[in-house]
Amino acid sequence: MVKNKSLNKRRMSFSFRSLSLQQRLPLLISMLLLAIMVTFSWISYIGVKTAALETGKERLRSLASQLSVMFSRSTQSILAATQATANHESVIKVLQPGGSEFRGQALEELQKLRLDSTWVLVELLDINRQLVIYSERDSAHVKSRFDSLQQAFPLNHLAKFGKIYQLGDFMYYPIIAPVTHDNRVTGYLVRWRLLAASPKALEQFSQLIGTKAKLYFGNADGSLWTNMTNVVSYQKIDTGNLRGSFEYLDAKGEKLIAAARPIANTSWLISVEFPEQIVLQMANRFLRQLIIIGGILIIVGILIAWLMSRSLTKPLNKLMLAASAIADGQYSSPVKVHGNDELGKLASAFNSMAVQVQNARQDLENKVIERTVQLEASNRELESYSYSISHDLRAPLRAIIGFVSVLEDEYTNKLDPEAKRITTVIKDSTMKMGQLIDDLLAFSRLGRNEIVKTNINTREMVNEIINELAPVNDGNKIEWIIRPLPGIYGDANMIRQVWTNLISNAIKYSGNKEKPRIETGAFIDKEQATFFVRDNGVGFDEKYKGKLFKVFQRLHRSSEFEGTGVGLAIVEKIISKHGGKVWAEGAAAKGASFYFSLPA
Amino acid sequence: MIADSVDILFVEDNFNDAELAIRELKKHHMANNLVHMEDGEEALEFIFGTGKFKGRNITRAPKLILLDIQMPKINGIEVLQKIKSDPRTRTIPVIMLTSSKEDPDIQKSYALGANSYIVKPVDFKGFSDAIRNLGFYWLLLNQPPV
Repeated sequence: MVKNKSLNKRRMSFSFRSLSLQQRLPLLISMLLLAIMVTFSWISYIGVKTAALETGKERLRSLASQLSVMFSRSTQSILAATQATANHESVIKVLQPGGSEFRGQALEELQKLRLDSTWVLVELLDINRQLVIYSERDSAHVKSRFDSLQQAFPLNHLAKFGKIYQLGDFMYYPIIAPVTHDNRVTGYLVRWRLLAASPKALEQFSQLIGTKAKLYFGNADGSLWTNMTNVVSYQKIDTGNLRGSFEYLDAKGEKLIAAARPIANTSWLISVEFPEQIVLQMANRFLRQLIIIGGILIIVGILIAWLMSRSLTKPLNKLMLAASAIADGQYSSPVKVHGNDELGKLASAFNSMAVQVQNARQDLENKVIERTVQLEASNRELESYSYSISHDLRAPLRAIIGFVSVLEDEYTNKLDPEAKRITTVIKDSTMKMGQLIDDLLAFSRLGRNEIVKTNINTREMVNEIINELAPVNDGNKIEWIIRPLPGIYGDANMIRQVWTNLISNAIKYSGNKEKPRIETGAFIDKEQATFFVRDNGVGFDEKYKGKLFKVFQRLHRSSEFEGTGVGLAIVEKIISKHGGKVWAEGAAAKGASFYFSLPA
Repeated sequence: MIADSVDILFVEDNFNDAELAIRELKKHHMANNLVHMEDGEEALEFIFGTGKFKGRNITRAPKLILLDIQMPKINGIEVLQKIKSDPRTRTIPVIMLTSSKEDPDIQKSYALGANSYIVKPVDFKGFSDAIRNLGFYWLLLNQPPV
């Protein structure tokens, strides 16, 4: 479980450092490019959007103003015609006291104003808004329907379009012109007209302002709004802002921008609006283009970065390969990196380094060969030296002993006891000399011999040696304690020499004890086996411990114990050749323990 | 002159060693037909009837050759090689004499066909015993091929 968990964790944690150089560089560059592109695109988009919106609004404002002026102009001829009728003599006179004789003539004038079917009614009112005469196209009930409206429109001394009113399914508006006599307003001429836009007119409008744009007319007091076809609920208009533009959200939540303007000579407002989206279309298209261009730029950037990083890492890889080739000892492949940049310089520095390393190595090898040759020569010299020692030093010794023996055998009658003692001394000393030569040769040979390691059955080896040196069934009085001994991996001949020397020493130095006891054993400590040989013999003085393992150093007199002082030196040399250690513990007359440890 | 019939050819450059060995052999009556050569060159001349010994009947080969390894001019190993590579002398038993039993020449001698070896110990008694025993064996007990 725990293992799985740590595994998952490792898989999940993404580390930038774990990426190779070749991956890191394009990643960094693409991230940088992305950040730049996003920021730049956003800023540009905002700028373009603002500009587009401003342009749109500007266009809207000017459109609204133009339409307002256009409508205002189109009212002028109607107002002029109405005012002309209001100024007609018969119309003026009919409002004067006793002017009823002009009624027929005035009515005739009024009838002239009903140019087509949209002109539904023409009325003449006196100053108190009392109907004097009227002309109607259809029947009397039309007039009665307008009666209620007569009080509604404002009256003043200027001809003007009145507010739009709704009657049933239709909308009507009055055109009012004052009738004056002697600079006094004596009554009003009111023409009612049906508000109706032909489909053709509507189409013309939409062509003029654009299909998505909408045009509304309404009363300045906000009492009614129309799209020229129907009455519409259009309460969002900000009548306080009739110079600029404004924004609002429609019922669907769509954002609209609008501009409203008063129409001169009327009580009307005109409003033009269109969805903000139309205005922003261009900006959005711009944004899309930016995103596409940005995407292309990023892809190209990554490609270039990848190529760049490859051009960086390829020589690095080459260097790496060359370095590991050199580590493997192959100097023959110089790094082929061209160019004068840092990498090229690094490569040429590397190549010259490789050459130097190769030369240094070659030098070293040559030196090693030279030294080996010298060493071999001196080894051979030493070999022949020890050979001649063994032959030439022994020959005189043999002669001494041989002729002394001849003396003893063939001239025994002529030698007195003292002479015989002297011949014995000569023989013993010569024998000792021979032994010394043998030991010295054995010791010097040790240094040259190669170690051939095998697995040694230590217990078997120790038993053999004990039987050889002091056979147990030979009636010897030694008490042997042999503890478990682990195997040794080493040179069998040499290790045998070690055990032989240590055990024969133990036998020798415990020989004059009443009950000699010799113990061998081992303990294993920290991957090392330590062996020991312990006796209860004469021991040694700890003061001279340092001399124990030196050649020809003895801690006992020859008269006490025979020996040449080479045995322990041989032990020390063999064990150190095996990478082990030798040491001893002891006290005078209390026995000695010899230890050696070998690496497992 | 030297007799044609030779029991032992003893090749030893060291006079002291030679004298002691001959003394020992004489003591046991084995030195009656013993010829002592002082170096390898002389020994080869004797064996193959050349040089000083031109005209010697070489078919009367010694029954045993005691050959010291360490000698001036031509050493024991070379002499052994010549003896063992010649069909006429190949069957003669050769005992090598050496100062040390660790001598690498012992191995070489056996490889070349030596029949035995004696270490010349400092201890004279050991030496004389070895000489006597080997002499007895090779002269009296061993039957050379006909």
